Amino acid sequence: MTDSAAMTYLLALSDALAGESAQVRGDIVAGVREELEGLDAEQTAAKIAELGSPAFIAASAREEQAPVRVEPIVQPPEIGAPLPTAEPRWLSLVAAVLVMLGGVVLPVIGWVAGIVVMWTSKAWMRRQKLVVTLLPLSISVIVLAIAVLVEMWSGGVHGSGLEGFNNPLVPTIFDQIWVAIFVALFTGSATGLWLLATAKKD
Amino acid sequence: MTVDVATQLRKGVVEACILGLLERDPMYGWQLSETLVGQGMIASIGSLYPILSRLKAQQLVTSYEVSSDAGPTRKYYRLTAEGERHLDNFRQQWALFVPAVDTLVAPTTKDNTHD
Repeated sequence: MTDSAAMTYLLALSDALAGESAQVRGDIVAGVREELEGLDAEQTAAKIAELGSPAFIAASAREEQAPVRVEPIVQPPEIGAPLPTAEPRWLSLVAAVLVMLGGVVLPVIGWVAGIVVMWTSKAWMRRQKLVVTLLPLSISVIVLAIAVLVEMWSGGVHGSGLEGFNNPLVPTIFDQIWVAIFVALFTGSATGLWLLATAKKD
Repeated sequence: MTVDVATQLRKGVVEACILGLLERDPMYGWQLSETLVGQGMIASIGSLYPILSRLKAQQLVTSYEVSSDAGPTRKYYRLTAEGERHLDNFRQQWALFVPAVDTLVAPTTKDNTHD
């Protein structure tokens, strides 16, 4: 090999170090050039063989500068600081208000919307959500059942001569339906208030 | 995994090894590289210069050029006063570190008389 072999090697080395900082690239190329200067062809070939390929030298430089892997340290939360949560606080507030007043503003639909939002929130336990969902429905069904029974009873007793006579002191079926609706609205509002009072704050 | 451990160990001490070499005598890049590669502390001359660059940035070593009629102009590296203090500190830490690790990783002699 001749000086041109040394030049070729240095150019290839410089190219291989293209990704490194100018400081490191310059230092390495200059350091290798020192070793190749003034050598004859045979000595140059031997030195290049000893140095290794430009790609190997560049890989060594990259490896040396690779950052040391450090596991992130998870800091415990400060005492008294709120725990991180993925749920915004307004979600539980919206759910409680919808359950409380939704049925009044927009009958049935408003209350159902509140129930849906409540089930998406993590501010309450599953058991509490079940109570809020089923209580107004259950009470309404019970009130309606009582109304039907009363209507059947108030229809008169056979053989008493009072068939077809409606007792004015006994509410009609329509009165009972209104009562059931009122009870459902009242129960919905009460459970909404309960949700508001018991929502987890963090 | 053994390779990873060896690499991590080398990375932890190679700077101190260079400081130790330069404390004896100023050396140029190829001299340092040959010695360290021979001891298995670095892979090639490509590993050496990033380390020297860090040591210079920390002002632990400094460099100067020496011209010669017989050969090329060479860049020599030598220890600074700060580098000497750093090396002394490393030696003190190392003297405590090695026996501590030896104690911790020493193989236990298991009592097999009950087996």
